[in-house]
Amino acid sequence: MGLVVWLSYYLGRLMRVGGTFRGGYYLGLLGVTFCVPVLVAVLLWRWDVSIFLLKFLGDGEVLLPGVNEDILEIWLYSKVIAGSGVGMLPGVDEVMLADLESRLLGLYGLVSVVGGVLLVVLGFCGVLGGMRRLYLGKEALVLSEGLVLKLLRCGSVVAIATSFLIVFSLVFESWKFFRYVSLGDFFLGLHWEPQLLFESEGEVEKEVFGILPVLWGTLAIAMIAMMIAIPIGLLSAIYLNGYAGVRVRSWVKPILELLAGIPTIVYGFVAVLVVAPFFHRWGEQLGFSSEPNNALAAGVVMGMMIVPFVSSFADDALNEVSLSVKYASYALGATRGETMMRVMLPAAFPGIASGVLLAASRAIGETMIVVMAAGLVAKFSWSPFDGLTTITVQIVALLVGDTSFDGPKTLSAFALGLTLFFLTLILNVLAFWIMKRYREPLV
Amino acid sequence: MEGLSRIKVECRGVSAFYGETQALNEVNLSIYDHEVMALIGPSGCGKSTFLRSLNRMNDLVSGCRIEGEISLDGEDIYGRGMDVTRLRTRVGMVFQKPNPFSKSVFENVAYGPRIHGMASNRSELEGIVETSLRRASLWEEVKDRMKQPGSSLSGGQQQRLCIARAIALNPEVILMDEPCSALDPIATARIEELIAELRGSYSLVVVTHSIQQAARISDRVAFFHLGKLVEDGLTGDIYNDPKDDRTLGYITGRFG
Amino acid sequence: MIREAKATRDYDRKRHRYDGWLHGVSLCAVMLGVFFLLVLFLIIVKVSLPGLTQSYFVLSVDFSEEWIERGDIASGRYRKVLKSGFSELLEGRGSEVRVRDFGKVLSSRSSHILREMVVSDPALVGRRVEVRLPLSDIWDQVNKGLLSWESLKVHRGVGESLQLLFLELKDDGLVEEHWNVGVLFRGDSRFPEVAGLYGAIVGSFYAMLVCFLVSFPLAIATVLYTEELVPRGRFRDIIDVNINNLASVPSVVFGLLGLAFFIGSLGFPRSSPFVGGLVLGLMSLPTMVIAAREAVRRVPVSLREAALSVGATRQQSVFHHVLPSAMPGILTGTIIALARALGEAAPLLLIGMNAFVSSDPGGVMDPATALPTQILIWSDSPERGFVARAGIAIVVLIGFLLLMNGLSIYVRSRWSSYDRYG
Repeated sequence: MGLVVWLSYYLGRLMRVGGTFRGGYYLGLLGVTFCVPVLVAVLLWRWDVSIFLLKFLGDGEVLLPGVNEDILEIWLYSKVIAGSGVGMLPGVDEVMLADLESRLLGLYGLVSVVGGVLLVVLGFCGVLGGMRRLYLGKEALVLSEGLVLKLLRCGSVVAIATSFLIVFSLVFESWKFFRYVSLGDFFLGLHWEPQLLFESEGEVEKEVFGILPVLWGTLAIAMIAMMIAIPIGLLSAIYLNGYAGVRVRSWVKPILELLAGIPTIVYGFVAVLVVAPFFHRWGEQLGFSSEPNNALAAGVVMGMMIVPFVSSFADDALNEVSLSVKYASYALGATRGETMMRVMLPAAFPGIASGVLLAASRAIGETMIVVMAAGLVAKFSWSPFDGLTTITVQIVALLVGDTSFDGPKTLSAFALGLTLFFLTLILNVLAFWIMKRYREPLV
Repeated sequence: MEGLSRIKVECRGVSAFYGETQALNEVNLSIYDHEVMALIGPSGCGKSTFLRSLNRMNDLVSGCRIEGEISLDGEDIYGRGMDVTRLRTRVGMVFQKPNPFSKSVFENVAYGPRIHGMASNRSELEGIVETSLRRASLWEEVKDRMKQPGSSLSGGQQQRLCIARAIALNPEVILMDEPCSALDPIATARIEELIAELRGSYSLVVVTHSIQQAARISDRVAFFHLGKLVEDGLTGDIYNDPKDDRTLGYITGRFG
Repeated sequence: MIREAKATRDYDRKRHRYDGWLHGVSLCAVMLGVFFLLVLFLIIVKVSLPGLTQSYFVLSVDFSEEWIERGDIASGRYRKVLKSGFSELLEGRGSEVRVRDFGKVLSSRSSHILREMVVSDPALVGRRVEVRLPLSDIWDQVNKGLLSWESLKVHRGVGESLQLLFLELKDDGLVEEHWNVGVLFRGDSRFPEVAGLYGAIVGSFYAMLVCFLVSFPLAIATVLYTEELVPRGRFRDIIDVNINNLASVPSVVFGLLGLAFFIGSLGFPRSSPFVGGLVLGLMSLPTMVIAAREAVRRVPVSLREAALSVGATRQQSVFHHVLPSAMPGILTGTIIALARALGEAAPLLLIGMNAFVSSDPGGVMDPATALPTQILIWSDSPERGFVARAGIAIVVLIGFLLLMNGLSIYVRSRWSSYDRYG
């Protein structure tokens, strides 16, 4: 493939189309454009993808007689298990599997070769076609630039595609879930105990997939986190903006930013090892209902992690308040405190509000800290020392481990994910709307 | 004139430094009661720095050092016992670009009196606000718009709002740093009218880059050049018979 | 007049007190943040300390041909070798302790370790050698003084004689502590004393590679297209909205996407760094685009105009002038985005990169774990040794992060000549 590129470049160079040297360069570009799919195909072309193709072609009956989807699944599963070193599945015909494997490999090889040849041919055709167009007088530069533009446009589309994919896959899987459990039962139900499904096989306990207790836990822990983050974050921003000198600012601000840069598992680790037991003991002493994995630990640690979100936004917002207004306040004989509280904070309020909303969105979507330090059982407890569970914890708990892909338990995770997505979406949209609408035009 | 009025602000040997750079060099100037003093000179000559040192706004600029003596009614404003926040209620300031707070018209003017506890109830506060707006000749235009944000006013109105804001504290001196440079000619004329009216109640020190404006509004003029006070005196004297060549050069427009 | 003056002075004093109070409280808030960070750091250090070293026992074993055939070394009976070594030791000291009980002092993987030794050096067959074998997790803790004899006796039924023997052996210098280098070079294991991060590091590396290959070109394409080539219009607005939204989507949702689409629909292998990289790449894309956008915006307009004025096309000015000029800023942002992706555990959990994998991943498609998920696995395990090692894993992770951040700072300062206008 590199050969094709190099060849086309050289050919173009030799021909000196249009009297300019550029022709060859752009010819090479054309060659590359057609060879890119070849590259992609080679990278992705593995037995896994050929399986996907086989499924596509209808259970592989066409290409491999006697093979249907179930057998393929078993073979795939055995491959997965083989990788983890646990040993072979009992009761599986190893000979048959080996035979299947060799035939699959043969098929894979055949298709690879055929595909490769086809694509090389295509590549050459593309190059030849490009050369012909050059002879017809079309400016090679414009041509290749057009191609480059299209390529870049395709790349950009990925951003949109991702959003679309997220919504689509969440909705699709959730829709499958809502065939088992009605919307009402999910959004208004008061019990969340998916583990109960194990006992009642087949028949889905309608009472078991109510999101409300999980929602309660999510909001409660997020609220604890915000109660820590807002005061500390806001006051820090006030200090940095109104009282700190340039030198102090230069090392304090990065340290606060550091809080946001630490991976969340580290916070979770500390939360579960040190903070949770501490609160558990304290809660017991105070006579509250208390658990070793408790909401307070998760909330407090999460709150500290979120501080930089609030403080950064608040600091930026305060900085944007025009210096002239600040001076006007001082010229009227106000103290730093009065200027800050009466003039600057009100002026910076939209920016601060956005920051708070975004921080809240982060708190709701946070996973690792709660997975490690909060509880697993969904309940409507008022005691912060109790273990509450969140949407993110449940998603992880339901999907980690070997689970059947289409059972209602697994699918419920997607319904949870959909809810989470919309919750954070609303908060984010609100935050951006506030920024847009109330931003003071820079005087 | 000099014999009849008292000296309001007395400056002796005032020098200003931004770090190592010297911005003012041994300035000696007296500002009298109930007069308009214009500070003129080419850009960068230190007149704004001088103005800011009169209400200690230079304190906010890090690295700025003031030497010499500035006294308000005989009190050294840089002295130990001087509370800066109190000083600024006696010496008010209006800036080049109108900078109303993002509050309502009423709140803008009421801000100063509020923080200094000048009114003991709501009606007193309203009284102060109305008086200030009248004195700034803005009352008629905004009396029905008191709750609207300050930024909804026109440029000239905003500047008069800022003046009203300063007046609300009942200052003795009002400092103005090129108050008309961001305004159109009509608004400028109104401000100049206002300055003439205000002279009756306050001392005004106005920095201006327009020689003509200085001639129109001021009783006395001080000409600054490269950080030094070159010449000061009655407006008529300075314009008709400047003693220094530099003054003559600037006034006739040869430089600046 | 005087009373009025005093009243104003009192009032002023109150105002200044309020100001001072605000100053103090806000300073406290900042101090709290800094203090928390310090405490975090100290806790990690304290927890990881025991994991820095591993206790070993010096045992004399005879790789006798009685148990190991020269032709087939791998199937030698190494447990026998081990047991005979034990009995020799115990008999030599006249201890009452049984071989089986003593065996518990050493790691359960000891026989495997012996096998590895002989396989890599067949000349050992027929020789008597002194080997160093790791102590089992419990005894490692005891040796470091982290587990009390009381607890040993009560919870694990360790008798007096074994206790005395151990102390005796320790006095004789047969119990050593070495730096726990294995934690970096060995793969994961059920037993903490021989568990290492190698597999996780490789997994993370592959995932990062894929992540970079996915997100970097796409980010560049998006930024160049929307900033330079087609800066206005509905397409641009849609992209902007999407990027802003995606940047605030919780990371679990990307994990769900990976599970449903990449693993479910496209059938890519579960638990592979490939899928992990894809998911992380999509997750990092918005941050990279935002950073790249800033970098490209800071390139002065004059540069582009200069290029155009010598007859370059728009695209040429972009690729030959704007892009190289913005590249340091883009790289800085990219490295930072990658650093963040390195520490993300949630999406990797959902796509399965947390299975216990004892063999190291050979390629990008093989099941593997990653550093953050490995930390989770280890910190969940009951054995104390794993908790300390989780701490070490955290230190390693943070080490990589510091490296990457340092690199980005280096990039920024070294090539700041391009960035002089910024």
